[in-house]
Amino acid sequence: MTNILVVADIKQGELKGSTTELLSKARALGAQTAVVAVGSQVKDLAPKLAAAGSDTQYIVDDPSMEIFSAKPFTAAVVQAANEFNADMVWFGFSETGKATAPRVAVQLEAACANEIIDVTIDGDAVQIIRPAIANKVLQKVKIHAPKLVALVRAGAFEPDPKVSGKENVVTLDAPETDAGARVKELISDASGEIDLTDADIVVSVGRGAKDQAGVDLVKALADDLAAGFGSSRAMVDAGLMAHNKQVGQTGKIVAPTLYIAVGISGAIQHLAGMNGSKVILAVNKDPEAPIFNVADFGIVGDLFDVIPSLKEEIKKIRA
Amino acid sequence: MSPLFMTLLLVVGLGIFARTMYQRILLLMALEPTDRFNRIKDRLKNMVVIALGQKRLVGRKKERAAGIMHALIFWGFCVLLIRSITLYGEGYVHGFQLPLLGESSILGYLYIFLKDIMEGVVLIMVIWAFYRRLVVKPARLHNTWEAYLVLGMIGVLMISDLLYDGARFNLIASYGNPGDLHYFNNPTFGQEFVWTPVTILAGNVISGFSATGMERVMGLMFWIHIITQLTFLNILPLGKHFHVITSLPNVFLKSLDYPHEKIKLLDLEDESVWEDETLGVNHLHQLNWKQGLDLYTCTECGRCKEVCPTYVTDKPLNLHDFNDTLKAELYANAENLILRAKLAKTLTGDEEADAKTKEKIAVFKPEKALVGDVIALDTLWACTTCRACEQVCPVTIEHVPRIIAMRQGQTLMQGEYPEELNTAFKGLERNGNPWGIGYDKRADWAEGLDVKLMADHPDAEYLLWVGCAGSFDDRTQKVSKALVKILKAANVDFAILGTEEKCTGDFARRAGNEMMYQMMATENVEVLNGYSVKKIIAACPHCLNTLKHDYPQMGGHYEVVHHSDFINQLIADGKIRVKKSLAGTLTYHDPCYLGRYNEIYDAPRNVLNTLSSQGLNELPRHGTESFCCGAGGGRMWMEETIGTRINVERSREIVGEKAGTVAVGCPFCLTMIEDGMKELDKDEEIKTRDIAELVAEHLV
Repeated sequence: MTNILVVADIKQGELKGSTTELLSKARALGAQTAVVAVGSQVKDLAPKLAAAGSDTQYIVDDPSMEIFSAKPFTAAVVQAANEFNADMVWFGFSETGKATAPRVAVQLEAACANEIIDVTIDGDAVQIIRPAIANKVLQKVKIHAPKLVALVRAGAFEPDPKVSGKENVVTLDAPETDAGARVKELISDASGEIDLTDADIVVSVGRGAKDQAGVDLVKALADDLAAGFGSSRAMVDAGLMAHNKQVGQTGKIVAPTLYIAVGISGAIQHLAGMNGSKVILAVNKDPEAPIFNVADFGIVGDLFDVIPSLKEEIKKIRA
Repeated sequence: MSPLFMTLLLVVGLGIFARTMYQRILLLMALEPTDRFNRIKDRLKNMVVIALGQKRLVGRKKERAAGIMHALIFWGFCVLLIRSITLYGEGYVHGFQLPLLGESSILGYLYIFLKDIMEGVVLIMVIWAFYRRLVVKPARLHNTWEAYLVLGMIGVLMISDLLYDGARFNLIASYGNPGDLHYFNNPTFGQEFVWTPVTILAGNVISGFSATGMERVMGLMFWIHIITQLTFLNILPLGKHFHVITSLPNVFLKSLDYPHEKIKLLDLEDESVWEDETLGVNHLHQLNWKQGLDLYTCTECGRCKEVCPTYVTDKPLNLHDFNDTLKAELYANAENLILRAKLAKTLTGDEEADAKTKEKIAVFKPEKALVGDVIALDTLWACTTCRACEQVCPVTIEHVPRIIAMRQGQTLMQGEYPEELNTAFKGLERNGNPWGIGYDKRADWAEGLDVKLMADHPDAEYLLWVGCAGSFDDRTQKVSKALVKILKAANVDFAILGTEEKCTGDFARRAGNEMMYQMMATENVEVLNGYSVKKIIAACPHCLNTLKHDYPQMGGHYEVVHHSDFINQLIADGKIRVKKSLAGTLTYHDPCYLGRYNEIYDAPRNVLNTLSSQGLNELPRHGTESFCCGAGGGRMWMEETIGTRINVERSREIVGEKAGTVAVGCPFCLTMIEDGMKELDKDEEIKTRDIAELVAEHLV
């Protein structure tokens, strides 16, 4: 029997979906599952963690853990892994995961695999699959080390809607560590807007929106969809959008599940920033616009007509 | 006059001058080496045409008046140099004359005539120059006290010499020549007075003096002239008027064949260059001596900034300030640089012995970082490498290679470059194109066009180098397809490399990433040489320039022709025929890497004139003075957040000419100008088209 410890992905007190995805996969492999939640005020998450598919919940709840810092976070995860006697520790693909996974691997004397998309267990043999050479090939790697720490690529595992676990909370003390550095304050984007590179859906606005009224119209669609709101360079130049919203070669590179390009012709400089999106929907009045070459779905029409009806339809479906 | 006083003046004047010059030369010798003493004949020719002939001063239509003014002052100085020698002689020997220029020879008379006229001319030019600086105030001029001081001194030199001669004439003619003064007098050529109208005029102005007064005026003017001249000589090396001394050698030593010093092929395999951080220019001492001489020579005339696409769109790059700042830094660190160079010469190559020397050398590290403190990062990265500055520089200063070398220092040693470049670099590294699109899709554009691959047809006469934009960019693919149509119509035997082609590395190199460039170049040269490619048609001037001028350093020697040039030849040879039916106003935007870098100006114009029923309408800034689209030098892959956008500035100029079609010959220009038109909401009225597209549409 394999013991798999999943590190809970908690952002601003909320449990992220990746935790369920990872736990679903672990259960599907027939493993013993546990989850470790590290942070401040996280003990209340225990029922949710159980519902996400874990049978044991290790909780490291300490005010000092409020702001992420790699060393103490690592120590907490290692502590939980040892408690659980974990054969594998899985992290979701996040900045904190990227910072912690290799440290945990070193301390557990485990193998460390980055950005895996699949795991198979056959008796004692563990095998992972991960992309290599800029996603051109997939590598099948056999793990020889007794333990494995893995970073799982976002969206690699499907969440099982029927998944559930049982509540068995083990509270652990925050380990004493010399943090080396202490985070005094976290200065973040105060706009409260959805981070483009994180967003599952991105709606981007281009020159076709013409002016502020056009931008507002498209922004409303983004808000309806709880999507990140981006733009082409032209709108940034026109002063209608902030530079940190620019998607493209010289701006943000995004790869959401759904990318909606509104009034964007799709010059290559823009395509370079979004052609990794899973599904692309383009709205443009010019049927010859190059955006349609990369789009999975296209609507030829004036965005001032299309967007209101699109919003209407979304409302209907939701109702 | 007074040998003792003259000797004193000469010893002091020339002594101080020699000392200053010695220091200046020592400083140059402390800089990095570069070989500029080959091909003396070609160098002399440059010196005669550009420096003595004042080609870039009188040759530019836009600045012709000011150019002529400068040329006349310069030529006047050349003439008066001989006169000065005579005057120094006069200090020792009464009536001193140079051989051949005495009163017995017609040459002597011709010379005093020329000298007389030129003194008058120079004086008028000086007055004009004062007027320009004080009243007209051209924007490019930097009005400094030094400029007025020097102009004033030139005026004093002319006036004092004229009055000295005027007083002498008055004494001879009106006062019975009391001091037995010498003057030209020949039975055939007549008397000196007849040959010197300006001096006669000067004499008349001071005719009111008595004999004694006149003698005093003559003596006073003589010594004023001599003292001013020696003072002038000593002021020159201290400021921008050093160019009076350095511009002739600077032009003589300019780069040959390629318009500026080629980017040095860095040896990246050598471990010591990484340890000693010697790649690129991160410190003053890493400039080469010719670059130092360039700085000495900068006249701060401001022509460079006036034509600079970044300066006119309010970016912080101001080339004459750039030069001036570096020069000041060079002077401020002169002593250390010289000491440092002395130590560096004692390096033996023996690691242990050198370690100590290197420690001593390290002491001389200047407090200020060359890039960051002395030159701001935004300044360094603003340059589009368009060469407009170099093209107009009257003293052939090579700004661009210095900027690229400094970028190399930043990119290779400091890892300090605009972060947007990362995406493009990564794209090159992984997929051989700056957008990072899968390399396997490189030949997709040619599907169904029956274009042969080099792999299937290795004996093709021409290789068509498509380039990244032509391969991947939806818009530029249309240009590639048009070009294929033309080549097929002309039955040209050609093939493409397909997925074996990679970015030439042009932008990486000009952004200072020599490592990425060499990676691209090595692989490309290997493929090209593997097919024994001889002739290449390039559809992008940046590819053309790199293949033609950069790749020989990497062992790739090819005959490279731009498609506009090739099409021109096809039409001339009757291999294709086109209809002269392009309606509407047509104008042409010269790409920098086609025009200023490769001097291809006529071929695209010939082609366009064959197509257009109305003929080509030139833009205000065209040919050698064409205005950059803003994408060169890696700028295509960086954000342009300071000032206004260069492409919009250029597009506005095109809109101003009411063109119906603007032709280009470069994928970057195509993107930038078309984008500018969209920005100005003129993309419906003004079509931006590549020459190949226009030709393909008008094929018979």
